[in-house]
Amino acid sequence: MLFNSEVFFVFIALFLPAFFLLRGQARMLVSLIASYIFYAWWDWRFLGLIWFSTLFNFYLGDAIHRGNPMTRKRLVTLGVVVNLSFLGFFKYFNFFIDTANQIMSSLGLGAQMGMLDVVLPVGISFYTFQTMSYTLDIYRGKIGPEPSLLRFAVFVAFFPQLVAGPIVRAEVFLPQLYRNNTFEWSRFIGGLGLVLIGYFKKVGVADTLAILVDRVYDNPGTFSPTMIIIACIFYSFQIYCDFSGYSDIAIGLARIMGYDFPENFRSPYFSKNFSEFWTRWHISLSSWLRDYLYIPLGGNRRGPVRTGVNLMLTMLLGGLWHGANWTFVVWGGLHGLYLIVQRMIQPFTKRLEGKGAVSFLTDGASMLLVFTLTTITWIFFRSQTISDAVFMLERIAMFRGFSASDFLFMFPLTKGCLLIVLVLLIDWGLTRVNILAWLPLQPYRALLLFVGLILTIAFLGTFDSQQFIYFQF
Amino acid sequence: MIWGLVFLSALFVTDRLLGYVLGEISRQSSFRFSRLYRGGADADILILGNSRGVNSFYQPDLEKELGKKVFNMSYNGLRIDIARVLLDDYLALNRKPSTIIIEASMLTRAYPELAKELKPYVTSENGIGTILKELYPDIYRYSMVSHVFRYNSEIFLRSLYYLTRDDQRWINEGVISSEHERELEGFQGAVFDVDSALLRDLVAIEQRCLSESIELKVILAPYLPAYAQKIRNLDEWKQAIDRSLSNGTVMDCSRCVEGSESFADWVHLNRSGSKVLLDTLLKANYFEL
Repeated sequence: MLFNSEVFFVFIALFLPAFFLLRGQARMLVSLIASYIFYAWWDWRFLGLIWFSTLFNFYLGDAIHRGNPMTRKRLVTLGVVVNLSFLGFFKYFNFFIDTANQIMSSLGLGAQMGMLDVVLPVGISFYTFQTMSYTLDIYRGKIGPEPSLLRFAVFVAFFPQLVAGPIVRAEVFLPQLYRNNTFEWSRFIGGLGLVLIGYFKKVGVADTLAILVDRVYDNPGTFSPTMIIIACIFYSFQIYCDFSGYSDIAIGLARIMGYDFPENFRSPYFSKNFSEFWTRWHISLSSWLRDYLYIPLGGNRRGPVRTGVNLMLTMLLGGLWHGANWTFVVWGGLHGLYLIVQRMIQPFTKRLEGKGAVSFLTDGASMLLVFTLTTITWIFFRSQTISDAVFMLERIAMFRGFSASDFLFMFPLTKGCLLIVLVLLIDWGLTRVNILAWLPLQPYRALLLFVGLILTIAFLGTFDSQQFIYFQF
Repeated sequence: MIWGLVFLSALFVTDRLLGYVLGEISRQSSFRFSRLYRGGADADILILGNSRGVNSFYQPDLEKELGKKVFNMSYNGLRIDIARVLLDDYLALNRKPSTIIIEASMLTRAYPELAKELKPYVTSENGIGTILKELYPDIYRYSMVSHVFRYNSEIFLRSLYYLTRDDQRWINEGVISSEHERELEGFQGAVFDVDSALLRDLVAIEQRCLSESIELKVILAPYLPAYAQKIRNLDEWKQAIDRSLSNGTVMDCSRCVEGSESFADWVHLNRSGSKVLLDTLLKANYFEL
């Protein structure tokens, strides 16, 4: 079920009253059933995978908690292997076979391994990482095992964040499931505000920008280099609005229900360097990778060379997490490279930092540089193959004005530019105001904001229920 | 609860108020569809076509040569089923013309998306409402729920552009590049679909014209000659149209204009090409009733 489909509005209108009318186990049961319906709307057959993941990690967590040190280590290793194999089979099986076949054929070995017709289950990367963090945290002694299978099942399958995050850790979410939240006006207003901002980003901005982006990426040869540059910039905002829009809706819905989910995006295109970018972009994934991969690898504690290797490895795997394609690996690799170069030049760039007007200029230039370099990485992320991405870059390098076919897209171009300005204004506003705290204090300003957002969506939005980009990850 | 009621009321009232303001702005425009729905276009000759209709018939030249009021209602991507309902709306709101000219390539294109863009003019009663309901029921429903949504359209932006300009005076001034012309060598050729549903719309227009005593003329405007040669089934396609018409046939001008300097691209005339076409039609007494 998509957040931007009509059926979802019926679903949520039925679910929320039931949620607030019930308490304790009954509320958990309704939440679980609703979450499974939400997921099964896409494909009910893959519910079995969620059930397997739930049962396996629930009992594994308990066994890790009760085991002696040696058993604990073996069990946590088993957990990582099973969870990653589970993810690997559905997500990477054909990718690895294809890569192996290519290597074999380049070595002159004729034998080719057959591929399987594997469908990627929606949300598998998100709930697998969420359940892995549960068993790893029990092993590390950060949390104890959850005694209730029902609550644990809700933690794994909770519909607002099941298919595209944010990845919410057990230590954050499980204790909240014990609260018997009642309907709170302030939470409702704050949550609704976030939900509407999410819809604005998705329906208003991302789906509208997608019209031009899809046309250019589908057939870059027919567009001028200028139009390709515009499409690349549009894609930077499309993916941001698509994904952060989903996160906003998820966090807002959870807030209405009385649950606090951590922030997943914090105006990332205002970042002045790449370390900052990764504390603002897909925060739940980047912090997961930091805590469960980068730091265990040694982080920055083993000298500059090892730090660089750790950074690169983390970013490459982070890229691969997004999908079974070398384009994602290149995307992660470029970000790894940016982070390494940034660490290398940091002593020099620190000297450039100034105050007042100088600081304003250097900050602006830094933001522009980070945005430009990030946009280059998105070209790989969006392209089907590396050669497609290289073709786009070659076209851009030819830099010249518009071509006749570009003018057919003046309407989406005009609309897109206007929407990007609106998004940047909203993001700028969100850096200055905590909207969740501000909205309940200003109910009539909130009302004006909500009316404005809804009418802006109606006036500028695209209404064809496009799937969220991150569903494929 | 009170907040919720105030919120819904504010949303409804603001939507209707903004919808009204945007509607009034759109009505004041000199854009062709704004003029159609405002009423008072009152042309003697009405032209219906797609982008080829826009580029083949330059209204100021036609008015000057014929001494009659001409209204070119052609629009990029206009398909004949949508043209039919636009004509119904035109006849309901404007004085009926004595002649209607239809550019026949409107029967070749199968893209109905323009209906969605025409939603600034939608009402539950008019032709646009009817066809939108039939082709895009969701869009029709949203248009009825939110009046602001009706102006989420390229057509609305165009109506803003033509607030202070006359859209009838626009014509393509460009000339096809030799590079684009050469690309035809690698072009495999075009096949025109004979779509029985679209032919039925043509028949419906003909019936309407007969009942209103309006003369209907169907014409196929010029193509770049090298392109026209690559239309593989032009004769069969024309014959299918001829068979569906009870009165008259398609006037084939697909090869009436020769030099490539008269074309903006393979399928569109430019300003000079439209003059050549007009001269040809005048010599053939095409406009004499």
